[in-house]
Amino acid sequence: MSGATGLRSPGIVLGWTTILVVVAVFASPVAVLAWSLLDPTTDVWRQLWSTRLPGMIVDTVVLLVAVVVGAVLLGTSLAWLVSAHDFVGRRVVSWLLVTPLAIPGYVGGFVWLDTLSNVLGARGVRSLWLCAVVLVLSLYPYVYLFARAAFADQGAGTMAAARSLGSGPLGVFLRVALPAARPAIAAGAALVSMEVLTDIGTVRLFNVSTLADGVMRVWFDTGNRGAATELASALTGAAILLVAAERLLRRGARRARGSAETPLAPRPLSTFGSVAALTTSLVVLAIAVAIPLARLIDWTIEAAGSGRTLTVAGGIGHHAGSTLALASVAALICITIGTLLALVVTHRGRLARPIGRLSTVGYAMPGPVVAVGVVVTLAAVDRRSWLPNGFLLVGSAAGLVFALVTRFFAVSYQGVEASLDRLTPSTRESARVLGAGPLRTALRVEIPAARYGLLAAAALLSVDMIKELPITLLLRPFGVDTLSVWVWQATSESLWAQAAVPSLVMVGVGMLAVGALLAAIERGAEFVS
Amino acid sequence: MIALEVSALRRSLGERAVLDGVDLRVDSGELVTLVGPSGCGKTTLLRAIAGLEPLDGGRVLLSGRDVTAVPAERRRVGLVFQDNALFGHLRVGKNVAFGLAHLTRAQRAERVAEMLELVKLPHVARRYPHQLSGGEQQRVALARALAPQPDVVLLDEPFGALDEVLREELGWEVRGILRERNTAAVLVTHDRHEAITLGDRVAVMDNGRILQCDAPRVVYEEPASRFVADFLAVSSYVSLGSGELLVRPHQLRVVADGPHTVVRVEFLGANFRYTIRADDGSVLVADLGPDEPLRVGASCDVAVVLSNA
Repeated sequence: MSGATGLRSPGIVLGWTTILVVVAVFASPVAVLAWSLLDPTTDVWRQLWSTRLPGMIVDTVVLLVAVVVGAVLLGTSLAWLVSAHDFVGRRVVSWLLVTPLAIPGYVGGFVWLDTLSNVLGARGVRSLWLCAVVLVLSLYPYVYLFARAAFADQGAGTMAAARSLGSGPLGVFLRVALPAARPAIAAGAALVSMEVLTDIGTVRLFNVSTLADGVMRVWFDTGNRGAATELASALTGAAILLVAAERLLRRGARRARGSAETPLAPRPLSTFGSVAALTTSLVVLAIAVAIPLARLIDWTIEAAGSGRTLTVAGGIGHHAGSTLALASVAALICITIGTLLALVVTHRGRLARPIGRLSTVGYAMPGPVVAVGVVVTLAAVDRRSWLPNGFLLVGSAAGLVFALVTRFFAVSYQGVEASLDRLTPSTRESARVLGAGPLRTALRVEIPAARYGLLAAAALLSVDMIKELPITLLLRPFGVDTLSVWVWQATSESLWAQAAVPSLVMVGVGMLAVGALLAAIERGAEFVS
Repeated sequence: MIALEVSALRRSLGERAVLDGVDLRVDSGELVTLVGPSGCGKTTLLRAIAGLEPLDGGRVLLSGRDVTAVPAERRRVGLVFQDNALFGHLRVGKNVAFGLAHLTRAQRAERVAEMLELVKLPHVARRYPHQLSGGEQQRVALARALAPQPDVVLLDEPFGALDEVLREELGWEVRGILRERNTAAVLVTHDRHEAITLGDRVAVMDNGRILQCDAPRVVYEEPASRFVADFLAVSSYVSLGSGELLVRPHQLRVVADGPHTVVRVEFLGANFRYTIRADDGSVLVADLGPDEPLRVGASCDVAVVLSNA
């Protein structure tokens, strides 16, 4: 018998232990809710059905379809515009079109709510369709990023072949580029739909009663945690359906990348075409970014002038500090555990991969679901008094951080895993043969090779965590007042000028993160697998 | 001195024996080429020597030291892959220095400079691998493998991704470098021409076994089996009553008119190669033809020319 296998067995045990512990910890909050879906409390359901539930389901479905369709149309056409056509300012525009990612839907929402209420009246402005438009404008970058990457992957060869076979520019797009990019667009659409299901800020502004909104209202207004849990499990069911739909759309279509192929060369547009392309992009950017930003600055100056930049909890420093502390601790944990799990899974082979994926289930679940699941799970732990000195997890900062990590763990894990996948086995083996053990190989070869994937993950995590609302609202301990909580409280009282101050800070930090994300993508980062 | 010795190596995947009792000895400074059809186990053998492939039986000795139970990172062999496997995020200098963690900073710098000098790339230390050509990358990979001064270097189709001219040139250069440093080497290839021209000895493998391991001229002229003969070069067999005589194309002359038929004529540049169907049904290949080329379908006769004069 060779010793090679024998010597590695402690590594195998350690590796599988790591995988199973991480999966158990991060999948349990969702598993708890899925369990409650199988075992419904009939009284609660009967009451929910006879009152608000049917309306919630209709609103959720209509909003979801409207936003996904809108984001796919806008994101895909803008991606095709900047990938296949050349016009003045194309490069700058293609970067700027990602920046709406830095503006949370509920920030763009209250800006346009105020701006349009002068035209449509305070009542007319609160409609599902306007809510959908606002969400499309803040979420289309997901589809745009994925579609742009997919178009770039296709290369000039296939397009030229289609042209030579008699397809015009539109034919090339519809018959070649679009079908080939379908899996990528589906992945982008899936992210958009998850964001819609998790949104509570924007829908509240426009008086749209979705399921997520329902969970929050039942929790806070009636204090009926049982009903909130049942509603959250319904939302879990919706999310599971969505994931299944995405898998179906992506089935069979692998991402094909011709490495030696010449990249797609953009076709120069005529003067008229250039002007039209530039104008279109700038109009989108004006509505999604420039006007909201200008109004936020305006309001902030006004608020500063009248000394209304304080909340009962404290000034901007207090809120920014809470946000920063919370987001950086949670992001650091996400990245550390995500990297560790990705490294272990890569070494443990084929079976480890699908099992490792189970740990990312929180990302497919809306924020209110994760929050409720975490509360139920942690409450069960608290009841058993396992922790010393009567420490309770529910209502503690640790509980909040755990929920945030559960929700966003997938961003770091999948990013690192996708980057590690590009490292050939021979590269790892070279390191071994040159005398590097597993630790040195990880530190000197694997992690450095994934560094842009890590940067992209960190950037996406910052954007996601800073604007996060439902988990923070449901789980924050006393005294933890983030920027998003301030915006939530101010907008619920229609105090736009006060909401502008924290919004502006959030958007500023978000812009930096988007810049880092773009820099990482330029250097070849894979941000989602 | 024996640098590498493997004996009775066994490795099975399910029912199939990928390595079926392999024995091989390589002396210091000797280059053994390992050739065989794809799937014959040659890459598995190389990986087993490096410690990257678990074994079901047998022993691996490096300079007399039994390393069968030693993990890859402590075997101290050099390994060069077909895809060069350079670390893309590290500069060339850092790549070459990767296996030199045990040296001081100054010693490392000195060794890196020496190695890059050896592979005739003294000015690329500050560059990144992707800034080099395919041939240059492969030289850096060799420099990286040689830097820790291993007793044995293993090369897995190191020139497979390069074009033919570069392949031949680099092959000779690598052979010279290995000999200069008195390093034992095993080079895996599927190219029989490369195997014969570069190796001090050629090991022909099939179905997880080494069928013959001898000097190039011996395996070419005195193959141990029909498989070895057919694999290494085009062969014809002339029956001699008691047995068969192996003749290579350059040993067979074609003349016009006779009992046999020309079925194919290829122009090779220096000469025409004739494929002939003999009257007994066997197929012969001949490189020596008449001054006036024959056409397909022409009748002909053949003669064996055994002397090299």
